[in-house]
Amino acid sequence: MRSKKSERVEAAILLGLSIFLTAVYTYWQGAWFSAAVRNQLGTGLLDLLF
Amino acid sequence: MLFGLLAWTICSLTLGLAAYLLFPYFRTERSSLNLCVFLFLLIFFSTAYPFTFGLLGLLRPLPMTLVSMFSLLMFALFKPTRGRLLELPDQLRSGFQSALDWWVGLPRWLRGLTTIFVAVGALRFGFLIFALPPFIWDSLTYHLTNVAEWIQRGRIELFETSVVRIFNAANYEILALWFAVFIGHDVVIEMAGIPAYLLACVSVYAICRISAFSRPASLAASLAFASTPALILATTATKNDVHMAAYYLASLAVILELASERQSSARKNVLGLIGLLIILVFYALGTKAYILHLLPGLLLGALLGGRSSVQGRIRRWRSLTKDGLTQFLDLSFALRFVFILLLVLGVFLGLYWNVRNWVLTGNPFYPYGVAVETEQVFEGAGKVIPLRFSRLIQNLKSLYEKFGDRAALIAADLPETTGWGWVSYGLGLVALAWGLVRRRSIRVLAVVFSLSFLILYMSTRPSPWNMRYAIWFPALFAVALAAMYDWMSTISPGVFRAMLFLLAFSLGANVLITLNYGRIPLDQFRRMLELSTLERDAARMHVTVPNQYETALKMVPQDDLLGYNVHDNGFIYPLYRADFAQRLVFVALAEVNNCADVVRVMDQAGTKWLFIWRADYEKASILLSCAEVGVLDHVREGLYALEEE
Repeated sequence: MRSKKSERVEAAILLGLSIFLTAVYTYWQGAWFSAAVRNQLGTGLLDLLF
Repeated sequence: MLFGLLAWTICSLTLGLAAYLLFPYFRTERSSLNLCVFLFLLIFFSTAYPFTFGLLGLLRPLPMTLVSMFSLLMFALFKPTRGRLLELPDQLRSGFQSALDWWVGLPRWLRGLTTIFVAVGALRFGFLIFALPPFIWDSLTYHLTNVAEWIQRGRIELFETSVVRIFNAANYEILALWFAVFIGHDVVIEMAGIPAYLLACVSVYAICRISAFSRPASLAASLAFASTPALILATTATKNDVHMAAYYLASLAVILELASERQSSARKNVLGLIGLLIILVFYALGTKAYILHLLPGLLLGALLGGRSSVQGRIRRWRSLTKDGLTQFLDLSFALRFVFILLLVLGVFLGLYWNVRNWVLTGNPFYPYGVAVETEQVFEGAGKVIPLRFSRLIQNLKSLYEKFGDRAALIAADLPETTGWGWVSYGLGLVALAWGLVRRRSIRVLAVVFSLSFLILYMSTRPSPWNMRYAIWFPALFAVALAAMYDWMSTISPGVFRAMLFLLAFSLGANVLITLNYGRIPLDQFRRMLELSTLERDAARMHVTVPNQYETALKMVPQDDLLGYNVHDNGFIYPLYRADFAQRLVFVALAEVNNCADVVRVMDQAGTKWLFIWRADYEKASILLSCAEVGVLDHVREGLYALEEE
């Protein structure tokens, strides 16, 4: 039987890992997404201007 | 259109009531599984009904509506069905009350999150369905080509074309018919994926509940899976992968319920569950043959589910079979007859396509050849689907490159990505790792999913797009998340709240990235929105379809028979137009060597028009030379017309 304290530590580590992996994923996929959005907005603005 | 809508409403009402009347056969004591059952029955009947009419050559709104009206009359006149129908208002009231109790019992934040998710999801689906015509490659080559041709003919049958994949199993295409045949237009044909999307999400909820996770945790898992970019994108992509995900997950839920030792088998509706499982698996086989690859995983789930020893579980399945048989024998003769009829219909829908192909070509999986390691089992028309360990290695390498979706933007068809999204790669991965150590149920599910995955990828070609066959896999991350949710909620309120924030962020990011399909340029959106809803032809949106389709349709009168020749993976569907008004005929150019041959094959086909796209280079050159000498008029790029004599 594990103590409450060790379980809380385990939960905190899991949360930390989840935040880290989410950040890494955001860095990877978010970069592609923001590039696509930038391209689209750029095209849209050019259309509006000319 | 108005008559079509009325006919669609009447037929839908009939099928809805038929599902309600037959629902008691499959009812269980678990409400989430009951919802799966009802959703699947609706899908099943919406396929079986047009399928029957299609085989009889009566695939038209009028005969389907007349039979529906007659069925409604019979439901009202026949005493047992009338009795059940009179109970319907009470059943609806009690169902609504149960749903309300379930909803009120959820934490406030989860109710809020669910409301936002459902509202945004419904708006997104609705907007994309109405704003854009179908544009995914395989849909335009064979899925929707079948649909359009069958609607024109009023009959489900094979027809001559250059795309041999029209031989593929086509239960999805028949379901898609349900969304197009009545109104004679493809404006809402993308909706054919929505019932499967709902079934997949409810199945994840049911799997969590069967695994004894709490309602809030199960709903959170269901939302997590529902937000998976690959799943969302596939839902309105007019393809069958979301259907396969739904049938796999629903089958798994049924198997886990049967294997669960929560209550004795005598108290379970074993007969209904086994019957449902048979229909589900066969229906999936008639949708796409790769359910055969996924089956070993499901069978393993049957053996590993429950807590007793392996011998105990085998004994349990024996006893389940015995109980099912007893329950069958306890039915009246009429009920037994209806039950067997349902099973036969399910098996027929599952085997029809493969048996047809076997009879016609000697290969049930035509156009694909089948090989096990180096031994060829069936000859195909080019491509071979092998079962090879070396292919698995290639696919695992390919998965490594796609893992984390770091190589490209997630887009429809999933080029170079898995499309599993924020929840799976953040909370999901951690929850799975934790669950493998701490929870037996997660270990069992991980083995089940992994076995299905590994066998599937012993066959699948290692292409940039092949992860679309595994959009059911993120359900494993979602279920693991439910396990971690329940545990964390009792351990540390602060950490739990932080986890919920992370979950909400991840859900939001998943939805944000899929607002568009990841590949539709703004100018195409603008162009489509400038057209009226019914004018949004697949030929007019130039994402995958080149300009010459649109220009060809501008030149060819709608009433003329349009001849075409495209390569074996070319687009045919856009030529039918959105209202299926353009009649097409395939003009084979294989035997064409000079202008006289061209005139002959076009005359034989009965058309003065010939549209080509990526046809054989040599044949295309012959057409050009015929245009130079005045035999053909080169009307536009890709479009020729016979010169008037």
